[in-house]
Amino acid sequence: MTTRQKFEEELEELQEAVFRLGILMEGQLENALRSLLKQDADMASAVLQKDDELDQLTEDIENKCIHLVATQQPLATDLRMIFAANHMAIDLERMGDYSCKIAKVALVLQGEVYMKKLVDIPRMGEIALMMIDKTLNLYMKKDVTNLSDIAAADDELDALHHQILRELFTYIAEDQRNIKQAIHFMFISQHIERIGDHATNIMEWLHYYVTGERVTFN
Amino acid sequence: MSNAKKMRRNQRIGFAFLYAAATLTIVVILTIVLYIFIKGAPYISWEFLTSAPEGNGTEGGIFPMIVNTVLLVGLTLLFVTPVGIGAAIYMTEYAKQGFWVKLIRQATENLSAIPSIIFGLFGFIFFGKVLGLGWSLLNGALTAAIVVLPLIVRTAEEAILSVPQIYREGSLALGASRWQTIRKVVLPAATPGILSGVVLSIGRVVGETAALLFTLGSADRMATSVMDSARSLSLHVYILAHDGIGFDQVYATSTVLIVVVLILNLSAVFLTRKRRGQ
Amino acid sequence: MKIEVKELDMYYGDFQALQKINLQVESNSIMAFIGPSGCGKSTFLKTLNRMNDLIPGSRINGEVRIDGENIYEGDVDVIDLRRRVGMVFQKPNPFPMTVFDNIAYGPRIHGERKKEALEQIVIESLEQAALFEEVKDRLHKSALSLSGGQQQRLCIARVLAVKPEIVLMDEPTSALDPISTGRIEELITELKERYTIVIVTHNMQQAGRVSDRTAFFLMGDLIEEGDTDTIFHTPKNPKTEDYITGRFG
Repeated sequence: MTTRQKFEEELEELQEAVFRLGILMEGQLENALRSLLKQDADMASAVLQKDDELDQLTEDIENKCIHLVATQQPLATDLRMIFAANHMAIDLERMGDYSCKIAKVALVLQGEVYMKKLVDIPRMGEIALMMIDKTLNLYMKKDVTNLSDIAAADDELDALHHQILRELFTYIAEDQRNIKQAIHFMFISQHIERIGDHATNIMEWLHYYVTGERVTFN
Repeated sequence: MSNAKKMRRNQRIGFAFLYAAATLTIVVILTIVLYIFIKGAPYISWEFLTSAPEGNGTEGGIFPMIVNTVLLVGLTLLFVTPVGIGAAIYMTEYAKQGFWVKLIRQATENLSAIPSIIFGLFGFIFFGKVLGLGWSLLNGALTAAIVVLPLIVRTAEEAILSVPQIYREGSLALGASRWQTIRKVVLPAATPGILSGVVLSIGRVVGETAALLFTLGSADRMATSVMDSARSLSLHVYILAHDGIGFDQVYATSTVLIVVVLILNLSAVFLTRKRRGQ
Repeated sequence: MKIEVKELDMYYGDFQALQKINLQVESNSIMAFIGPSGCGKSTFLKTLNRMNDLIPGSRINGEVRIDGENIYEGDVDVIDLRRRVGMVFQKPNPFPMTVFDNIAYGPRIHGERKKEALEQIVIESLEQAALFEEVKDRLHKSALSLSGGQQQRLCIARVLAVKPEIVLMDEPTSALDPISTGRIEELITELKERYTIVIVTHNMQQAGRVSDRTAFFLMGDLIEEGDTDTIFHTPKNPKTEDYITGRFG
């Protein structure tokens, strides 16, 4: 038994809570995109409802961090871990909010026929999910090798986003009735791009936690 | 009988025994003191304390003996306090705690166990005959000094050792030398303890008889020089009682002696308590 | 550099208490020594004012330089060294004298006799130690009648009265309550302007609050030394990390 057994356990719990939040968020994004592609209203509603769970978990994580700082006087790695966990939770919660926005669009466009088959948006979604998933795994392993490679995927997201915008502009130019859907799809693209930015934030905090250095990935 | 009852019974028996022992002790002391007081107090008067003896001490007062006793005490302290306190300082502050210090301490302890009559004989032969001091105040003081030396050394040592080490460290850390630290911090702090040792020694000297018998002399006049023979209060009691005369004076003088020693002892206690209170 | 220590070994008889210590302390800075009990930090502190000399059988190898001069060289005046390098102890130890006499003790020892000069020194020292207001009406009362926190500030004033250059503090607040501790910590950060301070502490947070640089000792070795923020935020040595996060076995 080490000294500070209870503290160690609390830190592990904190780490697991952040991981769970991350998995939850992944699920939200996946389901939101699926509900959009399949035009499944029930799935979209489920995503919106589940957002409360995300918010609650984020609040729990924040409270836990405050509690640990107040009672345990953490230093060095412990301190960095707690601060990182707090920031990462906030990033994940915003990512969840963006997922909800995507689900809302699915509901709004219920009953309509999409003007085109969605290809790039799901592609963006895959990249974003890959970034989050790999980062969460590295987080649990406390390993930051190859983190910059994963962060590079954000460039792809940006490129795809611009491509989508260009494509949607042409659709609008061709037929003004396409404006409604085009704008919604533009927003969705932007939401996923923002999700990618938050993912790189999370990577930056992970790097700080493990090495003590602050880096920029975007 | 149950175990608890047995324990209570044994406890009561034990207490009764202790109570009896304490009572016996007090009774014995009170008997001696009260007997002397009752017999002697009626003869104590201002005249008694301030006039010279007459008729070989069967009448008159004890004034010269009081003066002689005071002179004896003063002279003794003059010899014994610097030597005793100096030795104590050396042994506690300077000497390496090893074989020699232990030897000196053992020798001091042994000195205190020697019967005072031996000191008296030593003084008679060495100070009196070899050094040619004869029967005198000087001889008596030197002998008395040897008698109380262990007492002074022991109490001074104890007092110095009980000064907390952190005072010394604090002083040295300010850039004081060993000697400055002793003079300005340790000794002042040890003074009440040392003083109580001195006071006890005074009591010892005042009551000393055997060591002074062959050294102080028996002249019942006030001493005018240190080479004069000079009878002290306790010697006065001895000589009168030995000769079987002037018993009134004997009891009266004894009363005075007891009162003096009592006051001295109470002062020593008071001084010790003052030190502890700090 | 105010203090430079090179390749210092320290022995108590056969026992080696310090191994190859290399350390520097800048003027007017506060350096904290941290480490578990028995790691040698207090021993090392005492080599800086040669208080270890008082322990029979103690000896050193290596150099301890203050203002460039090795204080263990043969002709060094140890008395003057201890005036220049003052020490405050863990348990407040005012002498059983008046407040005034306590503070005046140092100057008097070093030859100051004039009444006005002594009064001036006493008042200045008490003010520097943030104690004057509290004791100005009790200067001639016994120092032992002060509270623990006040006594410790008195001891600090006593050290300041001999106008040292360096002040060593051996766990100065470990015997005090939190409020007194806070007051003394504030005092220490103020003293930095005029003195160089080295403080041994068990309390990590105290080292963090008070010091500019921190040195971590373990079993007689200096494991890591650096800027306090770095040591507590991203320590380089895993042993340092284990100690400050309390994962010490």
